Parts: sequence; structure tokens; C-alpha cells
Amino acid sequence: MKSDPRDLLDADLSPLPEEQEEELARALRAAFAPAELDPAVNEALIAAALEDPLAPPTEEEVAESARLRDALEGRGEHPAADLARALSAAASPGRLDDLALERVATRTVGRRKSRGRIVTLAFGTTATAALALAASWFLVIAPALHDRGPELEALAVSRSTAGMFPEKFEPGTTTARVDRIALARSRELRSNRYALWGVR
Amino acid sequence: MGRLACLLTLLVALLAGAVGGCSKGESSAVGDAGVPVDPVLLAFLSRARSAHHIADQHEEAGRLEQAVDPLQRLVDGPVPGGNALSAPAEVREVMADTLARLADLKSQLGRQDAALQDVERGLQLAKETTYFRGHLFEIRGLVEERLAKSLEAKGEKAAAEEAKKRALDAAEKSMAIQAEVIEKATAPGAGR
Repeated sequence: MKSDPRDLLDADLSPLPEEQEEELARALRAAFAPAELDPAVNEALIAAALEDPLAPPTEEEVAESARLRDALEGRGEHPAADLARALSAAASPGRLDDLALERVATRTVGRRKSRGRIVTLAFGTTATAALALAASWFLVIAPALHDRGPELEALAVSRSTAGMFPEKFEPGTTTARVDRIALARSRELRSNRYALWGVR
Repeated sequence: MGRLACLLTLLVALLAGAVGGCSKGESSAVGDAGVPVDPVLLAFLSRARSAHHIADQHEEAGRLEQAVDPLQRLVDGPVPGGNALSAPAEVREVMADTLARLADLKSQLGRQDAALQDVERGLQLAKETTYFRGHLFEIRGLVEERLAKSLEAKGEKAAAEEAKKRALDAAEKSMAIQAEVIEKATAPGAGR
């Protein structure tokens, strides 16, 4: 194995065609000392990356959604599956079995001192719904929101764009305004994604 | 049963407290302005961009009827949240601006009634004192002026005078709104 770059001089290497050599040199220069990106090119790259939410899913997205589907069907685990189940339970609560009921009651009011007597509780639909909601809140939603608190605080929110236009609208400038609004929000969507990924 | 009632009351109280806490937390997290910017909002804005660029091409080529089409599809199409009136602020503003443009195009095509309806629809979406609202009144004035001219050409002088009067009123309202926007923007402490 050659470790000294000078040894390469001895290797039987054919020179690159001039065009390829120039391209390689450009790529190496750009990697070593990248020039400032033209703002228009930057916007175009952002637009290409973010402004086609209806684009076909990537392989990674397909794999991730399959994993989530399997988790929701009871095969394997996925971080979003618990939250999805909790939201589903809150929107359309089912009956709690005795064991789940006992767990919720214990968690919210503390363990009973005396366990000598078995109490059978028969709740109506409203009570069951309240308990299901309470359970989903305490067990899943609240911890999830608490954990995401710092990220949520950093998110850009939907709001009026009036402040972006300090001057009276001139005729024939609607497209420019819509462009500006869309680009501003696409930047914010990118920031939101980074914030949720914990990248700052 | 007394124990059951007690437990249930406690749970409901805890839940109410938790939900209250959630509301408070959400408010501080996402602000009072709206929900976090998400791909659905971007999808609408992207659609709006496309619609306006398509309309630009037709308008530049003098094909006003074809310029109307993509804009009409935008304002009649799906919006984030399902209802334009309760949609995020950006969506309402872009819709209002699009309706103003639609009104102008339809008015140039001689469809003054449809143009005025678009202005009305836009005003329902842009209720705050902004240039978006001022612009809609400006367009209303323009449409009424064109209507007045067409009525005059038909010899309907009384109706033409009424339309001129409405055009002046709209222009006055537009100016008043724009003045108020400027005052707000230049007031001490504005933009802080």
C-alpha cells in the first residue's frame, strides 16, 4: 500500500482529459475554499428542496411510513405511534379495562393504602371518555409536549404578512408579493424543520 | 358511589387543569398569531405562486380570460384548514390579493358584477387595516369607474353617476385605510 503521495508519480496513471481535469480542479477548489453562494441560487435551492410538498415521497419517507404503519398495527415500535394512539383515544375513546383503569387511578390519586376490598367501578360513556382523555394526557401527550417544549418555542408561526409590505401596492405587483410571502414562509418552514430536528 | 363521584370529580378537575396548562403552554410556544408554519401552508403558497405566474404569462400575452382561470381555481380551491375565513393569516391575505387581481381582470373583460363580487369576497378575508384591504377598495373604485364609463356609453346617465359616486367613495376609503396603515407604521414604538 502506498502511503507517500510522491509514489503516485510512479504509478501508471493516464492524464485526465483537459475538460475533466478542469472540472475536477473546480470541484476541489470549491470544496477547499467555497465561494459565497449567490442569493438567487440559494433561494432556488431552497425552493427546490421545500416548495414541492406534493412531490413523490423519498425512499426514506416510504420506509419510515411503513415502520409507523407496522407499529400502529402492533408490529414493532415507532416514536410517533404512541402519540398517534393517544390522539386517537382522545378523539374516539374506547372502554378502559379494569387494569388500565386501576393504573390511571393509581397514577392520578396515588396508591390505595388498603387493598383488602375489591371495588368494581361501572362508568358511563362520559366517565369513560374523561378517563381515556385523562389517561392519554398524563401518559403520553403531556410528556411528549413537555419534551418538545424548547423546540416548539423556537418555531416560526403563521401570521399576517402586512408588515412585509410597508408601501402602497402598485398595480401589477401581486405576483411579486405572493413570491415574497412564499419565499419567506419557505425559509421559516426550513427553520422549523431544523428546530424540530434539534439542529440550530 | 360517593367514592366514585369523588374520584371522577378529581379526574375531571385534573384534566381541566392539564388542558388549561396545555393552552397556556401552547400560547407561549406558538404565539397568539397562529400555528407553526407547516408544509400545508407552503403547499397553498406554492400553488398561489404558480397560479400568479401562469396568469402573468397570459396577461402579458393579452389573454385576459385565460389569465382569470388559474386565479379562479386558486380562490375556489382547497385552503389550509378547509375554510378561507378561518385560514391562517397569510392564506387570507394571499386570497384577498388574488381576489383583487381577479376583480381587476374581470373588470377589464367587462364583467363588472363578477368583479365587484370578488372585491366583496376579498374584503371578507382582509378585515384588518392593511394595504391588502386598502388595495381592495382601490380596485373597487377602479371597477366602479369602468362601470360608469360603460353605463355612460349606453346612455344610462343616472346609473353612471351613481357608479361614479361609488367609485369616489371607494377611493376615499382606500386612501383612509392607507393613511391609517402609514400612521400605524410610523407611530412611536411601531415595529417593536
